[in-house]
Amino acid sequence: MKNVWANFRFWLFGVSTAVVGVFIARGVAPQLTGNARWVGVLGGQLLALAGLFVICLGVRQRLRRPQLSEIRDGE
Amino acid sequence: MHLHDLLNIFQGLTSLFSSSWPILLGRIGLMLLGMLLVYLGKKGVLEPLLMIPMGLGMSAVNAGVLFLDPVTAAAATDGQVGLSAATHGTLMMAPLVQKTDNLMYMLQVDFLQPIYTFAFSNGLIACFVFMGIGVLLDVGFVLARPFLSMFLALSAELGTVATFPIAVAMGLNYREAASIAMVGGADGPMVLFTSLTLAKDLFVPITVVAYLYLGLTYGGYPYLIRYLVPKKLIGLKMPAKPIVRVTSDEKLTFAVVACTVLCLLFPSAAPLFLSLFVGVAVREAGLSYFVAFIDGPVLYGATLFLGLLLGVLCEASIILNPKVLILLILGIIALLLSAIGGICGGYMAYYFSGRKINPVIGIAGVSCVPSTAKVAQKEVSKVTPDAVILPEALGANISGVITTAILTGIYVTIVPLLTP
Repeated sequence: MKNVWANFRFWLFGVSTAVVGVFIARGVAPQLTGNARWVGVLGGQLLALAGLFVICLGVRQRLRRPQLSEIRDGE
Repeated sequence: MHLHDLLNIFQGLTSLFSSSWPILLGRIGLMLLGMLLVYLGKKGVLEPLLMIPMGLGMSAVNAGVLFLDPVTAAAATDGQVGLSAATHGTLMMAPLVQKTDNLMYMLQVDFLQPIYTFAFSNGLIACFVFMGIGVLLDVGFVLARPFLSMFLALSAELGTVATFPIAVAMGLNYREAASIAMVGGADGPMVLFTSLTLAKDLFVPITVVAYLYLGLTYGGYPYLIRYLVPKKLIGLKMPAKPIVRVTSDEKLTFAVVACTVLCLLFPSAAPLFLSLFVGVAVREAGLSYFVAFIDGPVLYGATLFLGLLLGVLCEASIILNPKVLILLILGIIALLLSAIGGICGGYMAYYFSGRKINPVIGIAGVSCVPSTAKVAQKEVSKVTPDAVILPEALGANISGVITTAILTGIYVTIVPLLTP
């Protein structure tokens, strides 16, 4: 798990963003009415997916740093 | 001995000629179509793993129609026909049965009924296929090139999104429109899952149309590439990049996070997400026994019975629906739009990258794993044999699977809310 810990900021930010998105889409939006509900649902879903995208960006960032990409599983 | 007795011996023929004209022609046509599918499967024009059992099932079910005894006929049709009526039927499967008593009776009569009831109509078989796909996927391609992969995958969902309003305009309701629009995702299990969830009455023709067309992507998309992309660009060599290594811990962690987040967002499609990511997780965790089990018996067993059951479901009386023609048109529109969207995405990537990215990669965003990625590489190799686009194409391809699963989740979640 060294590569995940080495890139922890991206993982934390990505997971947090995704969780906030899920909370908005599934927790907050159903309490709203009319258009606000749809905006909440779609906004939350997009935010959650953006969180997953942030994780991908983090991995890409790690791959661009040669010294970190040398770290292998189990080392 | 009278002619009447002879006809009773050969009930398949007797029931054929005692049917109404549309059913008679439909049965003969479907028997011939089944034989054609077997032939095309053997020739490699269509996917043989699916088409050979499907074609044989289609021929057999339309040939093996007999006169059911009144009790079986009543159970098979859920009591919708009078007990004295001479009803045609088969000893293979009764997909319309709903009542528990009738279902228990039919489970003891029709030999494929247990598989249909316990594995097909609840979407389990689609999930098995998806597990197999998960084991084959390397999400590292997506993690290494997230922008390109996701952009191309989103572009290649044009058919999945745009076919929905077209289908509604052509007279389908929202549920049917969403189910047929999923053909644009070019992912069979997803079409099966969506149509089973949203449009159970039409799931047979929709799924058959989907699988027939998916078989054609391998043969049809190369022509589309040649038509839409000039030869100079098809042969474009991309700058060589160092081999990147996304470690299995990153891929496993991503699979866990993505599965959890997507299940939280779209609980209706949670079985699909779980199946896909359990495959990815098993692969990345290095559980070789599970990988061998899912990759072999589960995937191939599910594919065999999926093909066989789809074929058997193509009985003339079930498949002959006035909406089938509309579904055939919409299916081809969906796949065509997705391919065009993917190639347009490829062109955009080509221009935004300073003319470095080969636009053919765009078609790999259509999530028929790994066919479209292979098609893209094959077409490029024909023009420039040493050009390699497969890693980027696979990234787009795998992203395509994930975006199609997300769109399935969106349709399955939102469409019931739109339907009165």
